[in-house]
Amino acid sequence: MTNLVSRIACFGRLKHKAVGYSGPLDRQLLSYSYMITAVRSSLRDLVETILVSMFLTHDAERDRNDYHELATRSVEQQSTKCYRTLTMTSLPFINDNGCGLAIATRTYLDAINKDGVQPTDKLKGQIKAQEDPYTWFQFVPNLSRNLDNAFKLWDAVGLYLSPVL
Amino acid sequence: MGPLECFLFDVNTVLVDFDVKTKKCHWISKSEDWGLKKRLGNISDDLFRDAQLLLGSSFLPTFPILNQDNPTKRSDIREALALLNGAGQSVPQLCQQYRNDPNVVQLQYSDRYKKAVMTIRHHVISSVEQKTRPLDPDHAPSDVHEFVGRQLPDELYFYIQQGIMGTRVPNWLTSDEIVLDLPGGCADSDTYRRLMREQLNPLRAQSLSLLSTALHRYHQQRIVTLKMWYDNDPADEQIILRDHQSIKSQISGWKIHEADFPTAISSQQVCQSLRRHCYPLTDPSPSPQNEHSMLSALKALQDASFVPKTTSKPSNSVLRTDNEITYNVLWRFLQLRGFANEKHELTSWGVALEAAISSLDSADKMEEYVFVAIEMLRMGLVNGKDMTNIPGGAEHGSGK
Repeated sequence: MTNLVSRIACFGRLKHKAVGYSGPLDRQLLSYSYMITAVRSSLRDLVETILVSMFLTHDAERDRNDYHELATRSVEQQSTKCYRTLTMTSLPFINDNGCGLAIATRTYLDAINKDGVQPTDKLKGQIKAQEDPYTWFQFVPNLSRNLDNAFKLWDAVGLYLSPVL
Repeated sequence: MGPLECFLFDVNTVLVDFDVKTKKCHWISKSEDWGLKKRLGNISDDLFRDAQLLLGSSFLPTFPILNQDNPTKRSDIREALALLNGAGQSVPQLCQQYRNDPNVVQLQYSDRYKKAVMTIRHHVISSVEQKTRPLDPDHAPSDVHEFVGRQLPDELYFYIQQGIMGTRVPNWLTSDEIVLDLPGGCADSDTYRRLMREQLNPLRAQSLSLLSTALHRYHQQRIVTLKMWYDNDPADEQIILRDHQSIKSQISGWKIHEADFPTAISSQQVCQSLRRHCYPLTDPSPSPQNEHSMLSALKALQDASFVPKTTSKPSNSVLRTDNEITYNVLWRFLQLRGFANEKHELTSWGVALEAAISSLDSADKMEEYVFVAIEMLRMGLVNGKDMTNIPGGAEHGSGK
């Protein structure tokens, strides 16, 4: 179960400070995150191809700015902005997520299940608050919130998809 | 600022480091009085290029003899020059000297060197006038496409430059092959191999076919093969584009103008999503959020007053606004992935997807994660089974 919950967390993203990751490592989850990356980037390829084929076949207006005037600066900026809005911001799957959230989730689940007894709320709270000695993720400002996200993902994927399977 | 590979081209100075705080920058120069060529004994441009190529670059792997003694140590250009000087300053002659070395033979080094030189000499560039052409076209041989790939329309290069499309799919199409490497640290498991070799092919075929049908007929007849890190020629896996010709027509019905959009899709949504994607890593401010465009696209397909409008009248006028283009891309995408059918209704997967995404709080921005999870569920890849044969889990792992 720990495996499955942390794998689903692997689809999410750990909110980490903008410094190098220094927490625990896990090669299984890293390998799993590469599978997600492969699927995600193939989906992105398809989204981009759909978009570009709409332009190429003139389903969408190509002349979004006058191409001949592209060399002049103001027009170029405008045009670039226009395409960037289309791709960077409104179409999905551009960002990779890594395996940080999966490792955080797994580390947490392993820690609360360590002794094989029902974990107390106190223990859960201590780990989530990263109290000593549970200081594995120094640069994660809010572990509790990250874990909440992982569990929300679990709920969304697990709960709603079980009927289809 | 750039990689030292720039020296392979007509570039004299490369900035290698730039520190805003100390206001200092470092650069390396090739041809100045104090430049690399002088310091290496006033060598010629060609010899410099050959020595650099032997060290390894994106054009040619490192000459195996250079790494032989100590694979962890990187050789420097003096060692490469010494090798070359011992072989009449000619790479083909050097390969001839080592013709019995299994690594040199396996890499087909001599051939690849010749290809690399021609690729550099006639590298395809984009000019300021948005034209894409090889360098020194007057002297380019007639089979340039053999080493730089076939040319695509300028219009497509323009979109790539604008950043609306990556180069992966166009490269597959111009080279007829999909080259797959094992990422660093990734376990070389059967599950990963199967995903890369078989399971992603339908998705790749959709992209390739869709792009090729928008291009010259020549591209629609191609057969794209895979090149795996463990198998150079898996004969059983290839994408025959002729077999996927109908993809474009399946989705061309999606050409819905904003006037027909359900009212829930407000015109401000795309701009909103811009703000949503640029949130800082710290906790986002609790401002009211719009729902994700993917969710709006799904919800629209449950709207009984909207769906008939999308299938009734084939529209001739082009799509113009950002919103129109974004949503039509999403609807086409949902249909190609099997979440909507050709009648523009949600399939059972689509209903489940809508339910799953609806259960999320849009402030958490996790819609895409759920989507990818569902795609992988359908491939049978979301489970707790051991996929890697690697022992252990996290540092504190139990493997339970």
